[in-house]
Amino acid sequence: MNQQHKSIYYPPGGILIWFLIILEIFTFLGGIMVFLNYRTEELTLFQEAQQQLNPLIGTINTIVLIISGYFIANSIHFIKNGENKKAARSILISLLLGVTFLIIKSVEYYAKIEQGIGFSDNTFFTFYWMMTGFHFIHVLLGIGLLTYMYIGINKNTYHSENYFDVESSATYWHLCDLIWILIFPIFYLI
Amino acid sequence: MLKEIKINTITLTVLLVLIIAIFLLAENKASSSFSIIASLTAIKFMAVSFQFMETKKTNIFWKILICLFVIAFLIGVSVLS
Repeated sequence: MNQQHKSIYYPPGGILIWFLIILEIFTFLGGIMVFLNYRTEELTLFQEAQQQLNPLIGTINTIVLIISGYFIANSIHFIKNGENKKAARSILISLLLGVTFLIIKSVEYYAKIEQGIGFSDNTFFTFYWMMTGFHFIHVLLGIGLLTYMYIGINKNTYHSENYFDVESSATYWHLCDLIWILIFPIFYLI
Repeated sequence: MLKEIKINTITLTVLLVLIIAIFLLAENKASSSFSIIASLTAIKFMAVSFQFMETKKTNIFWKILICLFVIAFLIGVSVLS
């Protein structure tokens, strides 16, 4: 299988998920560049708006998502090695960490709504809601996929001879990590 | 397999150190922190992509695409910061 991955057509998780990844990360890059361009034009407004975000919450969420990515990466090695129970347990931990991420993000969103900060409040928050909201939907979809994989592994639908879907879902989950790695410092830190 | 899990664990440790370092740098609000944060973000991105997502096992085409993306990110951030 590893040798097969060396073919341009067979990256881990399949070529379609890799097309999606490349497309998505470049789309988000475009969004980040437009955001930074507006930032140079309205620097004071952006700096003031950023003060309303809590970088500690963003950092905790980054840690949660990275650890989740670590467990999903391990689950692939476990399932390839025929250790289904360990694979299922790793996916479950990833799943729970993903849910934790969404809970923390929802609390943050609720606080912003309570403060009356909406989509059209200013340019900073238009981008904030749009990009973090789009990422939120990605994580939500990822949780659905991981749940399906967890059930599949427990039912022995997925095992060491049939793990392509699990690998694709794991690759998608890493996409969620990658997007957050990019947008977190842009909105919360710099 | 155990070797891969071990490498994943080392990668996770490095990533956690980087995340905390980025947070502390941002708290200091030093003038040079913008470019340092962007560089550390690029390292985090590469670590997740190459180790966790297994880009290291793919064809060179995918590796180049990921590297081009990171270069585009760093150029864009440095120009617009």
